[in-house]
Amino acid sequence: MKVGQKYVLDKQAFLAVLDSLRRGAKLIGPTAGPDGDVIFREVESTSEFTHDYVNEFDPIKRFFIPHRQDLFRFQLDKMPKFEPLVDTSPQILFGIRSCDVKGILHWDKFFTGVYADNYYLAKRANTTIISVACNRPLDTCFCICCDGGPWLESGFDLQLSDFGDRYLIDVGSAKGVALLAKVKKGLVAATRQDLEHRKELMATCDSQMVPTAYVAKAIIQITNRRVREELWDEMGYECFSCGGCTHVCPVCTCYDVADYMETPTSGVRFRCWDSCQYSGFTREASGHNPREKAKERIKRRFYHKLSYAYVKLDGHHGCVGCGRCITVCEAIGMLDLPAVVKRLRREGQPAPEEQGA
Amino acid sequence: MSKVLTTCPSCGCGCGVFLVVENERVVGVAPQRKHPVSRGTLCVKGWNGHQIIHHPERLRKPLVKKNGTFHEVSWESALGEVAKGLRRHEPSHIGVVGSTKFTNEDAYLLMKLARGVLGTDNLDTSARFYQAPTLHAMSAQLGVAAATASLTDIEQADVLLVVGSNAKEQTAKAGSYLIWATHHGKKLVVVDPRETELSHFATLHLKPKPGTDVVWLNALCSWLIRGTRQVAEARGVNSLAKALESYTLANAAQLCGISQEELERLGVMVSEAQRLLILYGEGLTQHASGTEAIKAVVNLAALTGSLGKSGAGIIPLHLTNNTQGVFDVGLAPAFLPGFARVGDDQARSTLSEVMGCPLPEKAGLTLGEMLHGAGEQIKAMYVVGENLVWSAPNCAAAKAALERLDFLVVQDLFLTETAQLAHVVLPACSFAEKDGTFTSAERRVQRVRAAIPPVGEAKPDWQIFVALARKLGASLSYRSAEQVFKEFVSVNPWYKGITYGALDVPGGVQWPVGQSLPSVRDAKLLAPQFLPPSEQPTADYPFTLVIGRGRVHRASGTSVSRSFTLAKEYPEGILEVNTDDAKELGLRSGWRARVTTPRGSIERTVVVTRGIPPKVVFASIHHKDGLTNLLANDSLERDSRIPEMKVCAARVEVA
Repeated sequence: MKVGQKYVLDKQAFLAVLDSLRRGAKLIGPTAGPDGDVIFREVESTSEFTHDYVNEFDPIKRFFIPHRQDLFRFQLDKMPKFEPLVDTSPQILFGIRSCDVKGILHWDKFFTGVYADNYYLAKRANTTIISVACNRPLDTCFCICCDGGPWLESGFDLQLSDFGDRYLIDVGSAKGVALLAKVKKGLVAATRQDLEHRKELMATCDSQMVPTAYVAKAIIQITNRRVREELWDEMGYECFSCGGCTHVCPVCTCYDVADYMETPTSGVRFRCWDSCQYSGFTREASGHNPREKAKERIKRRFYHKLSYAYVKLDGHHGCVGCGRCITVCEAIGMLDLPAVVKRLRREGQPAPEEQGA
Repeated sequence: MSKVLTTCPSCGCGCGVFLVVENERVVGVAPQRKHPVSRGTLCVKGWNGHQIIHHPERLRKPLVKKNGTFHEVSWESALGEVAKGLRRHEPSHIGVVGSTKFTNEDAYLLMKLARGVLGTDNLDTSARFYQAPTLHAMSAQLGVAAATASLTDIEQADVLLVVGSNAKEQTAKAGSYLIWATHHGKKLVVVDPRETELSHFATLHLKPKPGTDVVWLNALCSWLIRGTRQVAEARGVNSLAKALESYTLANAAQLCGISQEELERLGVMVSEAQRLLILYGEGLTQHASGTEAIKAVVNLAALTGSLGKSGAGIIPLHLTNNTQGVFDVGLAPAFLPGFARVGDDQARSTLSEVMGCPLPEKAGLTLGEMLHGAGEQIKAMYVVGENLVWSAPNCAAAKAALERLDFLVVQDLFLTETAQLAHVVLPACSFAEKDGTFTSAERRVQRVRAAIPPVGEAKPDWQIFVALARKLGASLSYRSAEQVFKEFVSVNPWYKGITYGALDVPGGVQWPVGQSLPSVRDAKLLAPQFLPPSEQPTADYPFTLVIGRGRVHRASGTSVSRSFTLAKEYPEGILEVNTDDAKELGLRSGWRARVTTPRGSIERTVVVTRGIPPKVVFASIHHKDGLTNLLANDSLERDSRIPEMKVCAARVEVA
């Protein structure tokens, strides 16, 4: 048994293995929420899982990068003391979609760049990722435009494709191998028919996706500075600076760090979610703010998402096609990634009347 | 980690939100994708406002002041002090001030406590500072003081008239729909002296002199009646036509400082509209003509046939989450649940029977009147969830008024500037710690669900009212918020058929259920009068100061100052000054200017812009560098007694 191999296993048998792991790790997966929408949360048993779900609107980011995370406790007396608060508790993340796995790969790059972020890396090392290839896209999904799904070749520990009563299982890592090793019986190698069946399911999934995002052209436009200032100005007026796009994006990692004093000489340094779309995000101690206006912040956001400088640095542009930004944007249909890509692609094009000249 | 579905408390839009809970702490929020109005969005306040819940300054225990110092005491002891302090005074000398931010259940029981237990009709909320004209004018003309349309009607309307509201910043969801509308062929008319981000999208942007809206509205109505197009059938068209004879577009243009051509263009747009939707905010209500302006809005809606039609109507854009709810409950002097009047013997008798206690027969004092009469007419006050020292106009006078009281009780989340003046302070729960309902600006009743246990010894407001009533010798017996809600529904005909069970769907329920809202035929046209602002520019105070809010503000700024992220978004208060005025005064952007009115003086950082008219300046509320409301005019408007806090005369100089 090794990475890259594919197996088939009865669904209940696989879930039973997860239940057996429950004692040693937090088990997190999709459950039905109060309004019928899906909510990923910790469960006591896999029987709480729902198996027919669209991707959760809230990204799984909160299971790796908590909304608010205490980093270390400090005591500033004659002999200052610092007590790091690294969370190393194991967790199993079941049922996440391919686009979110792609997001995790972006975080891996971001948090192991110039400095290694021990808080993220500890969480990452203690998480087992079991994704389920997507079979129910929303009308906002566009992962096929971003190489983000609906199924992946790598990046997961295990990838499941739901065949109803069985799972097709792709093994993606040593962690995945170790997990499958706990299956006592019933695990059989996938046949060519199984792979064909998966291909059919994925083709059906692809065909249901509505938005398009021809990102390559937008990358060229933005990288070569062929975007008029007037367009960014207009977007600046449209933007509500609510920060929703960065909050729900499975790629974005905006955060702030601050201290919470518990006594005059002791407290906690914490990290919390922030947004590059807030003016406070870049304000300096002097009061100077390089990105005071919404226009500048939007420009920065899409430069970070789409410019070749970051594609080169990160190995991919900054979008996985989950479509959450389409729903969350208060500027309805104007500033989500597919909409902006469409607007950027139009830049520099001669107007229709001029083409005939 | 778990998620609890509740309703966003940031403004009157009523967006759906999940609170993300870990170890009994609210650590974050997520929008509700399935909500029919917010549809998976939240504004900057919605995303970050939850941060106040665990702020270190939360009140955790009741406090009693002895020899000028607060001491922590038990609930039993604190409530004993409150009961004793209130009992020492005649009911007519007691004032009760509620919040527009607490639940319908809280509001109902406070109303019951004040009228039924304390026997006072001196009962109000800070809605008096923002939307009181809506309550007075609409109830008189339509029998209902509420939006006659929904936010999603913006999608169907073909002409949108937005008056006196920076909707994009204050009620972002409404702003979201409005901007969408302009990208989809709808005509947007914005009426605001300033240029805002919303006005950027306007088909037509009118900039009348502050406080003159009733004039152009009356002229428009007069023009419609005298025009060739037949106006809708409404009671009193003929007498209205007679009363408005002197209002012409030419006269209005001159008095309001806008061009006649623009007014005519507005008239054509409105008269040709199949579906006209009117949305307004405090820029229309916080004036001497506030109630008159809302009468004019109702007239306009009636004359254009915009009532009782989908995609058309009126929406007051409430700044706070339960302004509509406190109106529905009758948490206002002179008003009972369902917009009945205190003077209506039948209504009062019916309510008295259900509540099981006699009710005051005469209308009491409004909030502004209570503050003006503090120390004389009013000797004791019970203030719940309102930081009056910040939210009241002329806040120095408000503070002095509260200091003149024999007895002051404050119930809040924090030891606010108002709480610091109190003799007893009671810790209250936030929306994340209690169950109940909010009613949004578009009449949407939605569940509020407790996500965490109370912080410290804080209690839900309604439970405090029940406990206090017992101390005062009355028996209010309620085991749950749901039981309170049931009683409220039984006394408000507009809520008939609404139960907690019925609210367990995305977006809750819009009242009324199975009935119709007033249509054109039900409307009573009343002739509005123009009452000029009581304070006009003079040689000493040559500028007109307009006071408003920034993107992160909700009402007084008490919440934003305690949200880590929101406070960062608004580091200082600003003063917008016209380019030519700035040149004359020797001011530049980034410099500090001193703004002075007859009530006080503060400093602000200048933003020089052509987006504000000459001789008009705009100041946003802020607290760290001086309370803007210190400058505000506390003169009370004639009918609803709303303070004229939107505009006043001011002097501006280099600091």
